[in-house]
Amino acid sequence: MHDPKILVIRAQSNDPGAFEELVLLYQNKVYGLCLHLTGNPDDAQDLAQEAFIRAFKALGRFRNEADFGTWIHRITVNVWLNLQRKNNGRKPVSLDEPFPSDKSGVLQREVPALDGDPLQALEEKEFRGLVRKTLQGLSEEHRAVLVLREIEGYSYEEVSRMLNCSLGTVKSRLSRAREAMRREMTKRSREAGVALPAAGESR
Amino acid sequence: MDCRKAEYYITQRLDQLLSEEENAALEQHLASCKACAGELALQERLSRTLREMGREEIQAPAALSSLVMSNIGPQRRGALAWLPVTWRKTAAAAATLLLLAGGSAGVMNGLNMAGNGKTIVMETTPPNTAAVPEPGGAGGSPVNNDNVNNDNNDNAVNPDGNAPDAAPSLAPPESGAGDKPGGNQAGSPPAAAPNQQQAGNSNNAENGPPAVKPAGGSTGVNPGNARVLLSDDMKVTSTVLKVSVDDLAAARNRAASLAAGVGAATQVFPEQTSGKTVLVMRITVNSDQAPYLTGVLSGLGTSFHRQDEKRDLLPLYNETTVQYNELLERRDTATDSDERRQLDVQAASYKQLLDAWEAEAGKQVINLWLENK
Repeated sequence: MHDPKILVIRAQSNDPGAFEELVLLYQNKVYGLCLHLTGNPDDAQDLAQEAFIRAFKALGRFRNEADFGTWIHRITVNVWLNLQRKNNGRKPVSLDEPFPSDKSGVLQREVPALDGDPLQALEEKEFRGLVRKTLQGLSEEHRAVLVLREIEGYSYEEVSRMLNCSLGTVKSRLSRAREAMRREMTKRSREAGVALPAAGESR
Repeated sequence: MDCRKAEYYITQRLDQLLSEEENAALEQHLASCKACAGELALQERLSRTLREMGREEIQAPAALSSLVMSNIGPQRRGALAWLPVTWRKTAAAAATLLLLAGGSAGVMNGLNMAGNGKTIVMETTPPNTAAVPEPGGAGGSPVNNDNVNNDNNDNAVNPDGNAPDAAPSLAPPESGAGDKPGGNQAGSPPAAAPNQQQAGNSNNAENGPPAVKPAGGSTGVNPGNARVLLSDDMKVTSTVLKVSVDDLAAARNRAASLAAGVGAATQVFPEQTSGKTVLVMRITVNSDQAPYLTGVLSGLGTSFHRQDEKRDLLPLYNETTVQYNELLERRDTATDSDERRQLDVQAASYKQLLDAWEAEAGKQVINLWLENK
């Protein structure tokens, strides 16, 4: 009786046990997304809880056409985005700057050349740690699109449906997010460069 | 190609979205632009790292599911909120089990509809859902709410107030009942719960008997005398059978008539479309007829999944019986007439639950999943 589609039908028929089974089935998937979005276990748990409650309330609108996991992920990311927008006051500095708008076609990169980039020297573990940290500093739109596309592996189309925006918006936002991510990582690693022995030694 | 365009192409390339020509053009640029080549290398590393993060097994905290359930519980069963916690827990568990077992009450209604040539879609039996999950007097509350709110739902509103037709919370999604996320399905916010309870109960006072009346009509509404605990088995066997068929409607009708042929009761859940159209039927059949029926149902199309499960309802039945008897005692000692009425309604829904279980005992429930080939 663990078929999600049957569980959804039963849950839609007001069977609380079936919804509980759905929660158990999808909680790791949802919590994982929450953790990537919020960056800390406490907020992740709160977010996951809220997402499931919203899902429960909206269950009648779910038509079993889509994958339940994708649907609950969509709810999760939107709950999080709304929350972030509400709490805009204490949001970390937004990196959602426009793409370098230099019409000359020369990209104004802060990072000059390959050999001068401290990021190149980072070991896997450090690199990953830096990715995590930097991700939490990104604007919520950038973070959402990166997490959904890169970490969760959703297609452009799925991301555009989940975020309710056009395919073009997803593409350009993702492109900017990657650029912002990379720029901020370089900045951070450079700032920490002297203090990072691994980076210093291997250079 | 300039760096700006290369930047865009790099992103596209990370998603394998470049055509051969575009890729060649990018390569050409990278060969002469160290910055962009470095950018691609880093972006690929970043992308790889993020993907690896996504593959990590992350365990949700153990408390998550119970936190979720305790949060939706009070909202959903607002009218139950004043009952002792153990009662509420049992009520929920009872509802779950009953749904698994498949209540027989109200089922004949679905078959009658089939006989009339109408669609036999019957939004499961209300004893399982509208009334039974909320034995604490809540039985009538969602029903009445919907009767008031849901004019467009023909199925849900029956002037006679017979329970089987008054299953609004189970109306098909198209009817609109399911399209109100904050409405019927979700229950009321906690703050509104007491009001809802009042409204529900006072409505019950007027329409109470029909709302909680067992479908067959053979058993009385008014709670009877205290019950005795059962000592014999109340085992229910349930089977999940999945069959893919050429013609869903034909298979549905055939299944219903096969079931009726051996005296089994059938409920049909609303169709769901998810690429394939799926229809779930719950068929309650005497155990001795079950092997035959399972066999012929498998023959409706290509049977591709089967799972059997046995449950003993006895402990739950006995626990519920104890609570039912307590309710009757409280009713007898109640002095306030409103309170008496409320307790009557609650007792009636408990009785209905117990009746349904008795009817299910020794039977087999076949959950037949039909899907289009």
